[in-house]
Amino acid sequence: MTDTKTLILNPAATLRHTRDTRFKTARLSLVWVLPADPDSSPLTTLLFGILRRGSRGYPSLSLLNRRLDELYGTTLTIRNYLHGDSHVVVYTAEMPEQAFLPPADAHMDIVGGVMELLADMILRPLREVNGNLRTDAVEKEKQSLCDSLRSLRNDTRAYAGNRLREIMCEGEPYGISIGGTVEQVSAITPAQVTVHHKRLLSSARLEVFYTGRASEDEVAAAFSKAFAGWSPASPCQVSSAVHVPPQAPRSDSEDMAVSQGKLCMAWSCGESFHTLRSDPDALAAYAVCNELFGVMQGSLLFRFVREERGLCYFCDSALDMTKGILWVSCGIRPDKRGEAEEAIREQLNAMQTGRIDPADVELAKLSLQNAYRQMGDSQSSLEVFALGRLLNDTPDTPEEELARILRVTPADVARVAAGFRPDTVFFLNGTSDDTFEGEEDYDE
Amino acid sequence: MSELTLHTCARLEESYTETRLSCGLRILVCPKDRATYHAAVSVGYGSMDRFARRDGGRTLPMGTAHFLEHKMFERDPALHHGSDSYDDDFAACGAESNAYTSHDRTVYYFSCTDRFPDALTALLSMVSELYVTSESVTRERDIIAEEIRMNADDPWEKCCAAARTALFGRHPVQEEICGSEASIRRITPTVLREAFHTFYRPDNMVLTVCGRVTPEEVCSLVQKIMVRFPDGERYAIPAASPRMRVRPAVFSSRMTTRRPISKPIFCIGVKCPELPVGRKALWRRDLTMSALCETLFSHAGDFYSDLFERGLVSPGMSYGYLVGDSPRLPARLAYGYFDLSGESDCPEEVFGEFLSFVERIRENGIPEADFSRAKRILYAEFVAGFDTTEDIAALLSSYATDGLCAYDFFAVLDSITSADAEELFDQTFRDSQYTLSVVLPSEEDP
Repeated sequence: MTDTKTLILNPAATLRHTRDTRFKTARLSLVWVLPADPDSSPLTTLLFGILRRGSRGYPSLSLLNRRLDELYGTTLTIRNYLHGDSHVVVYTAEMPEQAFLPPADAHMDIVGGVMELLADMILRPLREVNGNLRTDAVEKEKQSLCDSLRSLRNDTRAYAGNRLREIMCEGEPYGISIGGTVEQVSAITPAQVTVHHKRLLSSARLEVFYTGRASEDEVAAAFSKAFAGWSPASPCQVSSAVHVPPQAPRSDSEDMAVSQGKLCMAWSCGESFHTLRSDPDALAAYAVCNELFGVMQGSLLFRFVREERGLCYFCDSALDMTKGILWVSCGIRPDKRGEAEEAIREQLNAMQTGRIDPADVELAKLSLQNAYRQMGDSQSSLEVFALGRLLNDTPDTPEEELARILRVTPADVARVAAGFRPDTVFFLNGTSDDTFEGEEDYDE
Repeated sequence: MSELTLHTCARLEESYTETRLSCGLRILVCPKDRATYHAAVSVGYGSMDRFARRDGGRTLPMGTAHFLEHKMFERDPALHHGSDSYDDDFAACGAESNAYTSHDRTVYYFSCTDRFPDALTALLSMVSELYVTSESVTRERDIIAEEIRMNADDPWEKCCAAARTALFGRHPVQEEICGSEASIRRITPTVLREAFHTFYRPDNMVLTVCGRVTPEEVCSLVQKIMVRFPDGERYAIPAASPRMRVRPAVFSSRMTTRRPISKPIFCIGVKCPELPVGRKALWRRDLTMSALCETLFSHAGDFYSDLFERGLVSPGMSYGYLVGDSPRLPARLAYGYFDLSGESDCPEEVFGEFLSFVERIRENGIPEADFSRAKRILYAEFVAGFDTTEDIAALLSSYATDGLCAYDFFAVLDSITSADAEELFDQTFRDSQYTLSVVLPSEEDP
């Protein structure tokens, strides 16, 4: 694996620098970590949208984008998501390495240019004379956020997964809508979002990740120059609490005029990265359990729900040990809901009662070994792992985690599987049968 | 085996080797010091290959290439110690494998960090033999039907598919790659065998490998594997039906459907009237059109910025250009189109703005600075394609399947001038070439 150095940039910002000359592009990410909160998270979501519309140095979206293009087609992606009870906003810039630019442009300081652009967007937004963020930008972004909240239903799989999370974790920070509701967003004023910007800059924790050919000193100097004067005194600390299972399993459904139903199921185990800090071997067993259940090539869900019963095109699982939740998602004919639920539960039940083929456990471990080894070849995978370590406060390196995984036995898998309790089911019921039936023939 | 031909690119510090085995299989190897091996077999058979059946019956059903892709993972358990799927072999190597079908090819691939020879053996064996039964075809039909339903529920795909239908009419590029629920009911083991024996032949495949291996090691291994699959029954690729053709004009200038969405989705389609013959010429056309579209419709450009600032479109309006043909189809079936899609409460107004913008460009010409910026973007996107073994293999394979060398990209891009873009603009952006497809919210939805 590559070597990562950690540099403290200021009391709120830390650089994780990985010098790696194997890639043609460099990757720089600024990660803001905040507590998820039903009142402040919609403000944060709205704020980062407003900041993307223009800054003092680049007063319109067009000028911001042109600057990125000048920096040799640097791409800027902004991701806004929940990680357990944390609200995370990530700015990722991917830029070609100087060494691969045409000779006429080989002098270009792309890292410095990108850092300067990001600092301008974040620290120096466009303002009215009264100091508030520009009213027109706030109002347009409110409209845009309301549109995107309404559009969540367009992606039925993501929508159903979100509804399950909101129902299951109602009352927890993890159960919020990160963008709020249309009513909530509509009521936000420029003054509120301006105060929120100031508060965020004075209290947010910033993690900076860089992978590429520039030295740590060059990246740190570029940051110090661009973010000069910004140094929050007391960055906030965030943590996630384990999800508390309900007294009795819950179930909910909703009709939508689509042809495929989406079945989303969740189990909770009452354990998390935090509660298992002193038992990292159990975390490894959870990882193998999930891999075998619904992730690896030929997982139990793939083999027995899709291939054997032909119930669906996709059926897979995901494990969130920040909260202690096991998710399953699949797309089915609405009239197959009962059969699909039964088939999925049957596979989990088999693991819970120890009916596990040891050869399958070995395959799950091999699959995870492959994923861990591939991690070193991907800048984004390494960054995701490093960020997860920070957010979950897990000390192990990828090599250490893998070593634990390779020691997991079928009994370990059965033991952790037995801890999963049925929690919540959400079914998006497709009520339309409107699929294309026609066919073009080209017969003579 | 033919000589190993070395291709190098000093600008990227990259190289790969190409050769062809006596059975006709082309092999590309890019040695790379990474933990991850990636290998892909690209078969020259895609959804557009809708040929007449050998018995003179109806054309191969829509979705046959994709259906076959699903079934290629299956094998005879009696011959493989009870294992009925090549997935088992990949899993035993800890490898991730998958496949996809496009208009003109089917690609099977895997990534692994261990037991590369075993995973490569599984990949090549998988594309060299077919095992299907009536029962397994029936079961697969249910799975693919769910894939079709999943796609049918995607309003963006629905909108763009309707635009393709409006542009091309009776041409297989506008058909669903997975087929329809009706068409897959016509797919039987006999149909799949016919397609397999026609297209799955070494001389219609390209193998690409990227990882910690030498070309010699790969070629030696492949020869050992392929000797287990002597030439079987091969059918000649039949002639395409003359009823498949690209007509110069669009078939319909408007398409409207309704879905349970909150805000209308639009797709403006532009059909390219004439395409040059030959892969290299098509590549140059493809890059010229890409540079032209980046110049006119990127998020840094005046068109998008103006619509976005006025709130006429939601963030994320996207555009794309696709040009293609199939070496198995006559040149008259080459196709090219541009599409611009997004969300807007007023799709007709966006379309009106599009027409006005095009007229302004016609009067004032293409801004030279914007054109240079666009070429810079294409350069950066291409360079980024050499970061991972997976991306490198996919990129080299994509070009090689078309008989091209990826490294020629820089020369082709350098040769494109704004005058070329102006000429292409004049040929393409004409009233007779446009269509507007709109998906509106269902009437019962808010």
